Amino acid sequence: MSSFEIEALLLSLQVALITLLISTPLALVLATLMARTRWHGKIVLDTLILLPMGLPPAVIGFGLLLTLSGDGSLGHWLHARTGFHLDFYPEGAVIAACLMTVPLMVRVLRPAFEATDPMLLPIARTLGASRWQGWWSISLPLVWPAVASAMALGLAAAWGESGATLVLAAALRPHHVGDTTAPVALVQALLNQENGDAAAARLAMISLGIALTAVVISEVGRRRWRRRWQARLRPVGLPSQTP
Amino acid sequence: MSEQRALPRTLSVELRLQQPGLDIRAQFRVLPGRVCALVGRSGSGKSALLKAAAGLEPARGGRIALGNETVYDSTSGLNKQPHERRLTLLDARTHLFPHFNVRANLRYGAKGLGLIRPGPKFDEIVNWLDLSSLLNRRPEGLTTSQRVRVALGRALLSGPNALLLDDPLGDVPAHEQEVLLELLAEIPGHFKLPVVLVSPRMNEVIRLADEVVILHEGRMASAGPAAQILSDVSLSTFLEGVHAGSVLEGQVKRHDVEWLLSEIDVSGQRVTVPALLHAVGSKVRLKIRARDVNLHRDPPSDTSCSNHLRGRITQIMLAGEHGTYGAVGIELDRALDADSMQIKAASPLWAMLTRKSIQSMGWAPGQPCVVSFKAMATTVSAWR
Repeated sequence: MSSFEIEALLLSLQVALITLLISTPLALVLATLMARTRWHGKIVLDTLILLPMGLPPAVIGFGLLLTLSGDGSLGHWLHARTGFHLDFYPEGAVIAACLMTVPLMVRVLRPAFEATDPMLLPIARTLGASRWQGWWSISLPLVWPAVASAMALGLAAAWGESGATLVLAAALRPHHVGDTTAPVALVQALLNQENGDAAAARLAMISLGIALTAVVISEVGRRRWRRRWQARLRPVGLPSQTP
Repeated sequence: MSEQRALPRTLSVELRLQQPGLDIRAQFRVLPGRVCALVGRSGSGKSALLKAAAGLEPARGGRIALGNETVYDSTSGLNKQPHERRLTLLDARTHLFPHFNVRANLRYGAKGLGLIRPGPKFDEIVNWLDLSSLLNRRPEGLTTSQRVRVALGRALLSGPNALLLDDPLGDVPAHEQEVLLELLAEIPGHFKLPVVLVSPRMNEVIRLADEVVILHEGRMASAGPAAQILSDVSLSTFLEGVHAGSVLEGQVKRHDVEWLLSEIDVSGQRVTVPALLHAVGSKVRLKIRARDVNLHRDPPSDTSCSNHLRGRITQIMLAGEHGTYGAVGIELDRALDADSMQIKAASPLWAMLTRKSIQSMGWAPGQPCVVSFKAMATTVSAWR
């Protein structure tokens, strides 16, 4: 395996982990908000959250370029205010990956929040828990298998994000080879290198392994959560097991 | 269960709520160690009131106070959070935390939140509710009545300012309700807390309530001391499945082992009822349906009724859908012995008669009379 491939794998891992760190809290907040609150305009936020799932990833990459690069108005404003500069790594790759993972994670988390007894948090609050204490001690632990499931799935999605990343890579560093994420490296290997097929195959196999692991973890988490949920749906008064 | 803790305070509630199709207004006050029952048909706004009082649903206006401390006041914009009010809610579904075992559920309010709060001791509560063998079990393995006991312990251990009971025994099988009712009856005395009770079962209200508020379509139809309100013959208008009748308060005087009867002192007069299990000296409430009560000028000599009480007619009013019959209100004479208990407000006894009987006997307010009813026509329940 060449250093080019290892570098690409490490970079992918880095991007995926940073993405997960950002998108997990964001997805948790959004899922709680969508599952437990009622307000006007909720459908607008709902649509915005899910929109990236429906758009072609290349369009998202293009959109990011338009808005956040120095030429875009938002990018220009951001640059003037904070010195922000859209580079491929880490900003571009992480933002692109977040846009793909957050909708996915909200999709997984929201039904889990919705399925828990909506009176648990209010009861906890009359027992003396603040909103935050109640969420932390009751709402979150009850859905943790779903959180694990969403995180595994998010990791896989962030790892594999390529559509938007490719567009960004093509636009921001057109003639640069190396120093890029695994899926982009795979494409570059096919295009530029001799023996590119072998490198691409290795990267593909590793990606497959990671995706498989993540999806299995995700599925185990989802099943655990379903089991808990169904245990709670049993009619009260009938003990599930006799000790 | 005496422990140094913050002095219990009176709960005053005055609330206006808006529900779909229902405008709710109510006002009540509960002293520490007293039980105020909210009764009314389903959909009259009882549960909504409890939730709003606890701070879980927004109110349209009003004021809620604990002693001198105001926790909600719409005029000044004060609206304390549920965890600052600590008016702990308990309903039929108990809502135990499914990811905690019984011990962690019980400790949730007191220790689970890392707050040190004055409250009853853990072991005392566990023993009182008989939970020691369940501490390591998960809520999903408990029966309904066990769940209610855990939820009750959890609520009391959190050191609440008041207890709001929203039909806590609603899901408990009928044969297990009696035991839990005994436990509920001990709460006001032991913990000196204001308790608000919502229950569709009149036996629970008769057993527990000191004051009764009747809600009808969101408004207060009536409010006052339990025996007086529950003896209102117009009650059946506002409640489902309740027969017009009277609730008398008395004290067990004697048990007749030979005939399996018990004697109860009601305002110094004796009432005979089928044998009770309540100890001599314990307070009880008697429920007598108005249609089972007969009126006489003199004590009848040839009758199977074992109860003859002297009284005076206070009012006669037409009742029934088209005024088809008359409800006669009677105030019982008080023949207080030196040792008999003092009854504060004499509740009226009601007799349901046809208009023809009232006319032919010439009954009128102010006349002395003798009421009679069979021992078998009474329902007796303990009264804490």
